[in-house]
Amino acid sequence: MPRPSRLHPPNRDLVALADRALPWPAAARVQLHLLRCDRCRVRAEALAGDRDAVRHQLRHLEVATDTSAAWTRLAAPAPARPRWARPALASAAVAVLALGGALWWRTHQQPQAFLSALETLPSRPDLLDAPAARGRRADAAFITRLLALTETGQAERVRDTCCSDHDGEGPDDDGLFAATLPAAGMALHVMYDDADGTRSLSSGDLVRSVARSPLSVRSGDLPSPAVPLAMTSTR
Amino acid sequence: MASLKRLFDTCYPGLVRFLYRRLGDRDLAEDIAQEAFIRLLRESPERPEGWLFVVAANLARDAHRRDSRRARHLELLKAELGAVEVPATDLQVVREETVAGVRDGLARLSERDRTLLLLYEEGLAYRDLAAAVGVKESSIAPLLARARQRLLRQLKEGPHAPPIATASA
Repeated sequence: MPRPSRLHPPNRDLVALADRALPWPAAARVQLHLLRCDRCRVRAEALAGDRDAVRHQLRHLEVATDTSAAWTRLAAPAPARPRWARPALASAAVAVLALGGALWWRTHQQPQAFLSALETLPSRPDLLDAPAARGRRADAAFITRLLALTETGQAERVRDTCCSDHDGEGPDDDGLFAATLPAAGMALHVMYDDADGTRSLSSGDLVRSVARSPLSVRSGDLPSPAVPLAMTSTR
Repeated sequence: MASLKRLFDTCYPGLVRFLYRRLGDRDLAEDIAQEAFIRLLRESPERPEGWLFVVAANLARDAHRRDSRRARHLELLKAELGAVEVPATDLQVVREETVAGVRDGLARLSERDRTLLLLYEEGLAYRDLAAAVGVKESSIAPLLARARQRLLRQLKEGPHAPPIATASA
């Protein structure tokens, strides 16, 4: 009978050996020891017995699984839209893009669109009720676009008189600007406050009111009465 | 995709078994197993097998907390309404009692003991077990041995034994 080693392996090594989790050199050393040490062998067998007993008990808690069905569930793509919906969605997207592009084009390029947009002026709070800073920006944008129309020949400047007291609020600093847009068939009248002192409509001025009216049969005439579009009070 | 399918075939049954043992609800086990695989697709861990079980264990712990509250409500309801007893054969009774005993024994363990025992049974390496319960790998063997002894003692003492108090309980 071989003599047991004086150093008994710790419990953790015996457990790891039973679990096949002890790395090779240590496992060989413990196994050699067990060959010679009855006490440790009994301990190791008890630990392995516990492991087997637990495994046996846990086998009472088995459950059947359908792996292929579960895989199908996992790999299934998200519910697809009906086939008919795809061209319909594509068409709708194209239509929305086209409409958006057309609106942009009209707003940015066509005088008709610009003037049509003027009809929304009364509902634009930035031009009507906003603080002066916001109103100034809105006025500047409006005047810049209007003057651009005259420079490109899309609008004809009929009159730009400055300055008088048109609004009855004090010094003679108000101007009247009138232009016709033959292609649009309308005339435009702007009363402005010559805020930047140029004595003509310019982007630094404040828009007091905007009115438009249809052109009479003879192109270039200034019909009356004008239809007021917006009254502002940015002062 | 092929490697994922192989991994799924290899791990899914064990994952569901682990979760079923842990939670006692097959549907929930399958749902959590699926969720673990979905997260795997997002994360692409280096060692997916162990990662799956660790994630599943965490998900199961959260689900267990939620279900514990719900179960208490259900028990109260059942007590109020009176449970309807269905006649069962002797064999069924024995089997159900055995299953209930094992469940009860597991339920009385600490979270760490329970997770260690169940994950070990699914073949996880000590390294993965350590990651799952947040201890050093060298601590796994003694923790496992103690968890086994606690469970066996619980099973021997029966369902009315007091819960075993542990540091991590």
